[in-house]
Amino acid sequence: MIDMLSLTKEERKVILFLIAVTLVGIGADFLAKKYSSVKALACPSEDILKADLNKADKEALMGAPGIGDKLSQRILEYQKQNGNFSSLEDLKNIKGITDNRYKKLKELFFVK
Amino acid sequence: MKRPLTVLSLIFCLGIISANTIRVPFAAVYSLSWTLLSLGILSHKKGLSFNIFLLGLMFLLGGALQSNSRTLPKCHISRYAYYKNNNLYCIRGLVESACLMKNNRTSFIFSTREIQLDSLRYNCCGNILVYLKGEKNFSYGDELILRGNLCRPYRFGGSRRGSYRDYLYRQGIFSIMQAQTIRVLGRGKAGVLKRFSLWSKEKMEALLFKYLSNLSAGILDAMVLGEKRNIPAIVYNSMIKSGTVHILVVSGFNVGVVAFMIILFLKLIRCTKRARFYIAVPLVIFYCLITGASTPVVRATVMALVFMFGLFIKREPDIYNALSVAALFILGANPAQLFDTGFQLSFISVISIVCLYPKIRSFLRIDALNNKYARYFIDSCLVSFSAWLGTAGFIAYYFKIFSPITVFANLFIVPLATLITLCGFSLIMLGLILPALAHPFASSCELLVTFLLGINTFLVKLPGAYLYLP
Repeated sequence: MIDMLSLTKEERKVILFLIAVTLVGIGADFLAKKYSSVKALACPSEDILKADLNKADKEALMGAPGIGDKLSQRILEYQKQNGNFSSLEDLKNIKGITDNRYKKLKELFFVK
Repeated sequence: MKRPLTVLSLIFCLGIISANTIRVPFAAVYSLSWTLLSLGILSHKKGLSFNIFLLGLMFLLGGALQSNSRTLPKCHISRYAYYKNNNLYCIRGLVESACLMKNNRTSFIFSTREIQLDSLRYNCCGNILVYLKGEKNFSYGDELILRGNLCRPYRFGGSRRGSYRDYLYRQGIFSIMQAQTIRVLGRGKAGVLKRFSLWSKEKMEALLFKYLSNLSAGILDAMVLGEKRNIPAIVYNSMIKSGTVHILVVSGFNVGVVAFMIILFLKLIRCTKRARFYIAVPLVIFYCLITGASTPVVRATVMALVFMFGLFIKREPDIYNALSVAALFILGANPAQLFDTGFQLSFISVISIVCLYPKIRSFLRIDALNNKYARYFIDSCLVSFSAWLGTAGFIAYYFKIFSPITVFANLFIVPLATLITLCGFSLIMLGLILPALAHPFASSCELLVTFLLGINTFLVKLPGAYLYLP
């Protein structure tokens, strides 16, 4: 098996260089893992899952379950006509927002 | 012929296996590696001692890589989840794969960034597998916030291939989330190249389903684009029984077809050798990305690139060295792949064709045959037989099935699969460029797929075609 390793001087240098680089990489990766820490990033007053309804665009509205293209358009039109939402209860005035849907949306949006 | 890379990759694999069996601390393996590297540098002018140090170094390198891959950072997502946990977690991160929709359920791999527990947010990292009710179409790179239960994968389906948990661990997935609510924060926030390749794949899939029936499109989707989700279970099981299921995944064969088609087309338009190389390389890599960069495709892509590079610099490429480069490349990125059935079968089949086929051929003195058609037919049989001989033991061990019909079935199925793959690629290309001409190709594809399924069903029904092992 050792006989099969007939390497020229240049090939030996290249292989040693590649192995050295790989070893440095493995060491750096290991140290980064070992000395990584868990940091508390913030203490949010709001649930991070919730978004501000007054700032939500069409894409953000459509990301919520049960809100499609038409309903998101209706919400934005309502906001355009009546100004910012003063409370989440205002959503109930929009056609298509049933009690069931409102319960789900309450978990996803807030109004400041 | 001297094959240094083959020896080095074998020793490297041995190092990975040893580190997986014997748990030696990473620091010990790592410091010993540096010692051997120093000795190797000092003795690089000597013959035997350098070789011994180099072999030892490759062994330790494999061990260090395996040992490092098992170490998880303190903020890894798997450290937050336990087996039975009813807590609801909120996780922010990016969609890391294409969405898989099956049985009114969507699943995808999610790369985590932040986790919220009891009104506190923490940094985290690592991938999780996400399941959602209903069909949601998120794209690679979408930034989401998910809320749901988080748990470690259960160890069901334990077999010789390992459990489902082992399979997920090898993919770097240590937790599963059953998401209940989702919020989309933004779209397309990850790598442009991967996003573009997944987008292209979606468009190509749409073209196949536009021109073909669902059954044919599902089979071509698997053969050309590596997406198996649309193959009916009955067809898949029938292919397993005949030992021809390898045609339903994108493998080295497909990469070869793609590379061949690209080079042929470039030759036809009179591109120079240099230009052919520069155009073909990125296209082959792009195809590898489109098909999800599975192990057989990466192996074949690396081998194809080594071959093309060899031809480019006018050096005779050696298949063993090319195979070794591919193995080192895949295992360097993820050493756990060595224990994956797909990796083992992919390499074993190529090795057995390369090793056994020439030996059997010279033993049977095929060259002495005067009839070239008979020679071609026997050659095809021998290639199929060599692959079967090499993989039969593994397949019997892992899948508990023995299919003597495989050698015979491959004789008919492989040429048909080649034709279907070529037709499939042509259909996609024409669908993009000249949609009016796509219909004749679609009809050919339909006919060939029907023919393929008919032959396969006939062969499986033959007495003694396959048998399940206890």
